[in-house]
Amino acid sequence: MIYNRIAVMRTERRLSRKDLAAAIGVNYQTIGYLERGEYNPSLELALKLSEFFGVSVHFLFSLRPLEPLSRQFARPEKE
Amino acid sequence: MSTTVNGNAPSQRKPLRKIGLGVRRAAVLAMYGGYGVAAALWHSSQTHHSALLAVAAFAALAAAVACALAVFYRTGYFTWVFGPESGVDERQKAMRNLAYGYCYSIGFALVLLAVLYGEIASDAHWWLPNRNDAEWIFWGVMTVGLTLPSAMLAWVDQPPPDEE
Repeated sequence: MIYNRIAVMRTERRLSRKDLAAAIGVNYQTIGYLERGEYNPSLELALKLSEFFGVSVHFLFSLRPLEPLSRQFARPEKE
Repeated sequence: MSTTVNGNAPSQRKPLRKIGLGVRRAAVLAMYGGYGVAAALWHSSQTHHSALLAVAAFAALAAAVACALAVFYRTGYFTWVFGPESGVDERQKAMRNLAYGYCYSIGFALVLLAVLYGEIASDAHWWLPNRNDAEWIFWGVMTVGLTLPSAMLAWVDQPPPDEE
């Protein structure tokens, strides 16, 4: 299974699945399957999504469960 | 990032008619089952010279056609299989290829069973198709061959929950 932050990134930009699907050029149901990890994207689709959100592929996808962004950004900076 | 989308891309096509999974599966079963029942009734009507059975055969055939329309008319399943490549995304292509694979296995199994039945039936004096039956078998094979991949996709396609 490939974990991802598609739902978070999409929600942050207030996009519906149909909006994102139209921008990427896929069926909106595919977005749903991607978000739930029930479908693993091809490299091309992963790159399109990363490019659309303006983030790296590593930020958007992972082979291991992703840490919630709220926890990640709440971590105090090391001195 | 270019947001230009192919006019025929999956996201750009007109909304299709949606039917629930249970209804779809029932319609697929009724479509193929109805044709089989129609063929059997027609054979009986010819054997027993019964106009009533002939009418029942055509009624069963009409029901099968109606079920086929329910499953395939403006639902996108036929286009999913036979439409242009630009009309399906990678996930849909993967599902389509999976359907083709299963159809090959099913088709192979049916041909093998038919050949085995033919071999056994000729020795055991079981029913073998005559000229009239052969026409029903021909059109049945044509129907199954043309519709099975689409019917398979209609059988397994489950819209994700809480769709927006």
